[in-house]
Amino acid sequence: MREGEPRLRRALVAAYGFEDGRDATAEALAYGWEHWERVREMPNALGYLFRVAQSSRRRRRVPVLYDVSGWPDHLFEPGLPRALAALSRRQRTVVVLVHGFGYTLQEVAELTGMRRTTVQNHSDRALARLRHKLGVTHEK
Amino acid sequence: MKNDLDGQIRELIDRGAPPVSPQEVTGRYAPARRTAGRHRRLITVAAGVATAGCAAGLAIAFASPGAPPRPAAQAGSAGKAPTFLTAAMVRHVASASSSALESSGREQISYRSVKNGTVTSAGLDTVTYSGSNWNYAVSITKPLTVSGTIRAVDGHVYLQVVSETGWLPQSDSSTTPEFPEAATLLRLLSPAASFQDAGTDVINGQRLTHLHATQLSGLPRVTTLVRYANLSVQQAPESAGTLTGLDVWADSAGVVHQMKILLQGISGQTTVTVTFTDIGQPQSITVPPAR
Repeated sequence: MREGEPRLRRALVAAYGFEDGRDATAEALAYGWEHWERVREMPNALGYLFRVAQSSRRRRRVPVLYDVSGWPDHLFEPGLPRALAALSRRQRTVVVLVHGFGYTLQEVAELTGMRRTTVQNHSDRALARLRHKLGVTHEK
Repeated sequence: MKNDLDGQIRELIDRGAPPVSPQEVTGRYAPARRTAGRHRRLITVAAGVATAGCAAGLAIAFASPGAPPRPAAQAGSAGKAPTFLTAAMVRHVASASSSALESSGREQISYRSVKNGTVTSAGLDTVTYSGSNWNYAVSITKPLTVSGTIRAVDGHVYLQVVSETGWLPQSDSSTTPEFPEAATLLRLLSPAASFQDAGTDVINGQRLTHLHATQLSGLPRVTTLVRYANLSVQQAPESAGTLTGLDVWADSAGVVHQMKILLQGISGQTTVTVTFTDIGQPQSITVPPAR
C-alpha cells in the first residue's frame, strides 16, 4: 500500500482538494489496512480503495480548494488553482494524473474505474479548458 | 515559474498535499483490542467479587456519584447565522488544545444512555492526569451502582474498589489509558468535520465559542469513546456504536473546555459530556498507600 500512496493521494487531492484529498487518502489506506486480508487478494486494490474514498465523500459538499496563500508566486500561473477547481471532478482527476504526473490512460482508467476512452475524452477537454482559462497557446 | 503546464500541475499537487504518513493512517485505524474496556470491567468485576457474600447481590452501596456538569447557559447562540470554520481554524483549535491539555489537567466524563425511554447506563468518570500518570475514578449509577478508581503511577497500576479494601496493585494491567483521554478526543477536531461557528455560550462562568460538527462520517473512530454507547452490556462487540453528534466549546485562545458527543449503540442513544478543567495545572498523582 505504501507504493500506491502517491497515486491514490494525487488522484484524491485532484478530486477533493488539498485537505479533503489527503484526509480521504488516509482514510482509504486505514480501511485497506483494516481489511488487508481481503484487499490484498484484489486484482485492483488501489482502484478499490479509490472507490472507498469516493464513497466516504459522496455526501459531502466541501468546496474544492487549493489554498496557495503564502506560497511563492513564481511556482505556477496564479490562475492555475482556480482553473483546476473550475473543472469537473473527473476532468480534474484525469488531467492531474495524466498530464501532471504522466500516468497512462490505462493506469488512470484502472484507478478511477472509468473506461480508457472516457479518460481520454476527459483529458482532452480538461486540458483544452485549462489552456483556455490560462491563456496558454503553446505548450513546451 | 515552470513554463510547462504539466510541471506546474505537478508542483501544485505535490507541494500542497505531502505524502500521508503511516502515523496518519494508523491514527484512523481502530483495531479490536482484546483488552478493550479492561479497566472499567476490572472495577465492576472486582466490585462483584467484593460483594459475593451478600445475598443482595448487585446492590452495592458505594459513594454516591458526583453531579454531572452544569448545563451550558445559552447566550448569544440564537439568531446568528452559522458560518463554517476553515481548515486552518480547526487545526489551530486542535493544536492549541493539544498543547494546553497534553501535560496535565482534569477531565470529567458524564454519560447517560436512553433506550426506549429507559435509562440503560449512566455515570460520571473523572480523570486527572500528569504526564504518563493518571487517576481514573469511575462512578456508575446505571445499570448498577459501583464506584472505584484505577491509578497508574510510574508504570504501575493500582485498583481501589471500596475504601475498606484499600488499594490493590495490578501487576498484569496495562497503563495504557482505556478511557477517552484528551489527546484521543482531540483527534475529532478535524477539518473533515466541517465545523460551524454556532455562536457563544457561557459554561462554568466562561464565555466559550460553540463549534458544531456538520459532517461525522470522515472522523476517526475513537474506540474508548464509542464504548460509552455500550456500557449496559459487559461484553459488547468492539465495532458496536457510532458517533451521531459532536459539539465543541473553545475559549478565545482556541483551547477546548467542553465537548458534547452523541453516540448510538447497544445502550441506545448516549450523550457524553466531557469537561476539561485545571488545564495545564499540576496534578498530584502518587503511589497509593499500601493495603
